[in-house]
Amino acid sequence: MTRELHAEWTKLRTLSSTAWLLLATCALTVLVGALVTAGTRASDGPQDLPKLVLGGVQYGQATMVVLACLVVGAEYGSGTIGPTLVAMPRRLRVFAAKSVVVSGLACVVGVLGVVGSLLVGRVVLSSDGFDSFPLTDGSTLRAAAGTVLYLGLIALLSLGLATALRDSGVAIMVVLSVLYAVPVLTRLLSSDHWKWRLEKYAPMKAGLSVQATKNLAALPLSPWHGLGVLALYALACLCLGALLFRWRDA
Amino acid sequence: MSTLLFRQVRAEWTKLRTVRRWMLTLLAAAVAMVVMTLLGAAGGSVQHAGGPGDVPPKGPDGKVVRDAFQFVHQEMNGDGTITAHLASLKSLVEDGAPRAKTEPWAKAGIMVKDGLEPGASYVALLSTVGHGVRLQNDFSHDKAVSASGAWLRLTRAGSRFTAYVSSDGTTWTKAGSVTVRGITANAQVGVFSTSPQHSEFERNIGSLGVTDVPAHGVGTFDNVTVTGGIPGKWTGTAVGHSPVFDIPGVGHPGSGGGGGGSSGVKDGSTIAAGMITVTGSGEIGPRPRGSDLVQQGLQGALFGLLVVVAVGSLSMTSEFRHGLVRTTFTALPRRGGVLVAKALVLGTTVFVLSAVALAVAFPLGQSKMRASGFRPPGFPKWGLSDPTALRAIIGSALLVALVAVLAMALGAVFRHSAAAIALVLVVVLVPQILAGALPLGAARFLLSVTPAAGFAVQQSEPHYSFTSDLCLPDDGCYPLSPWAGLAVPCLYVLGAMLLAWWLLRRRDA
Repeated sequence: MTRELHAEWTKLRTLSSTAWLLLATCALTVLVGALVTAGTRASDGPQDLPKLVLGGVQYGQATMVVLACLVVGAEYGSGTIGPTLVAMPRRLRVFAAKSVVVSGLACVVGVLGVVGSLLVGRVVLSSDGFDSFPLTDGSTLRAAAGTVLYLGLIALLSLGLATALRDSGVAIMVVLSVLYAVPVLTRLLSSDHWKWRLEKYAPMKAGLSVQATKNLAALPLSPWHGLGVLALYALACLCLGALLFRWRDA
Repeated sequence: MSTLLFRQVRAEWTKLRTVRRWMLTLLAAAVAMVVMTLLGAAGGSVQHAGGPGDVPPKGPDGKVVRDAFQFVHQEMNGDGTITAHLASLKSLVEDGAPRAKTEPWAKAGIMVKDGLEPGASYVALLSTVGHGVRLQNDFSHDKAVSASGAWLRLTRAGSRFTAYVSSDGTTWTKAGSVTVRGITANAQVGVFSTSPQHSEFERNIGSLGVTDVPAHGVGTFDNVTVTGGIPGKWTGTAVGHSPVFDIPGVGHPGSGGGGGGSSGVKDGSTIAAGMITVTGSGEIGPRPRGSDLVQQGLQGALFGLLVVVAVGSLSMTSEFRHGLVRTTFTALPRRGGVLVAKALVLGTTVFVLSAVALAVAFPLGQSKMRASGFRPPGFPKWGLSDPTALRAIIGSALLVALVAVLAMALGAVFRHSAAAIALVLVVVLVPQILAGALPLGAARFLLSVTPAAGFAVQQSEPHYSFTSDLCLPDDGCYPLSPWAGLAVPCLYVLGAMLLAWWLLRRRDA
């Protein structure tokens, strides 16, 4: 397993696009979070401050999706999947190594992004006239840790789907559509019943409910349950990817 | 040149036509549009469909309007002038703490109206609590004429109405004029007052809570003179207040409730010693944005759009990936022409496909929504023959085609489908999601400057900024007018095409 991990890490590390995408994920998370926070005034009413500050991950996840899809999609695109599997014939191990490397990177970037968002957000909030929120509070820590896990799960979900689809472009389109189009559709749906159901079980909505620190009773799913729903999606995609990767010709 | 372009177009059409995967994907996009439109239309329900007894009033142009206010009036035969001094205008919001809140759209002023029926044609010069003096007519026309001015005058000459504003009652400045043909010679003139409900809303990421509090506008007038009327015969009428109606399916009804309320404020009017005090509630204006059936019936376009993004970017990037681009440029060396030909072929194909798919899906979706309660009189009936519906369908198809071309051009810029697809999806979809999380001003800005602004073309009614209704992104309201909205993605396409053209010429293939 160490061999596979080492190989995957080398492949990812030596691509210049990896560093750029990771940087973009971190920067987008912090920047959009700060912008959204800066646009909110204390007079707009009470706000869920940690959630507001961490909202940038909705943008930052897009580049993470691209990276995760490229990890496997690019191998099919350029044909390096052949040499990879010749060198390391245990396919499930290769797949596991890819998952570990990608989710590890996502979590590291997530930590950086979340810490950056919280620190920048507190500065912006104090200039907006809000009372700052405590950083070590239980619910804030849950929101922060949950956001990091959210990013990792999104990366795993993308990796699984990209492995199943074997094309980075199509995989990116599918993942981003599922993440972003479902909330847009929810807004326009005429049936309240379906609206509520979609809000409850759509991957992004469910996963991001972990960021809530206030008004928990009004949420369709409790924070950890919501993240659990996303974890189930990620698990399903990983299993699908692993199965197809194992049984299909490369 | 033209024969060269023709050859390039034919070459591109052959490339697009003969890749079976793309044709299948494009067909899948068309099917997705139909299926998603039908799914989006299904399952809705209306709690209150509106019985025959409470038919909402229709304005002079046949559209449903809101028309509820307190009117103190007399008859004016033919031409004449009404002048009034608005001594004070107050907004009373029925809430726990008295006088703590004001409704900025509470209004009072002078009006010439074609009878007392709700929905009758009118011209009004009115002062608002928070939005200055305005000249309005026939529910959907509004002009801000002055920031302040307590003396108001409206002069009728045939179908021409001229408004004057003064701060002291002696020096008058002309504030504007309108031509309204729907007011007969025997018109009702007088002073009026009204106030829409006071809405407070709390927005958080993904959730929205709106509370409506009844509110009253109180206008106190003196020095009210009418020339051309029958002197001294003032009558007070509550226009449009009985029966009280709510337009079904509307999230935040702005139409006023009945007179009176828990706090003891009663709508009505008193006339004493040259002073006329009018207390009214309700709204005069177009129907509030509720369930926009046209927009709801075209949701499939969004899903078709997602699919064609892939085809658009791949039609360009796969040439780079397989080295076909070198063959293409050797055979047809004018690189700009190749780009234009690709855009033409892709854009036209996608437009025709989506227009057909949406035209098929729209009537089916509408009949489905009618079956679940979205039907007249509460909701308009839309068909393919309505110019508005037709505009929305053609506009949606154009939007899908524009996004496909944008993906193609960005494919030429990045030479990598992953980057092109991700960027297009992010600029088209993310603003719509982020808009639900941002404060209103920032959300409107985002929905006006990103390609997502193009979705405004799907709205059957624009947002009227001169009413108390909010343009909430959560309700699917886009701030721009339909064609202005569609112009925004056009500009993006133009920019991307220019960049792609420059890079194609400059870079090695």
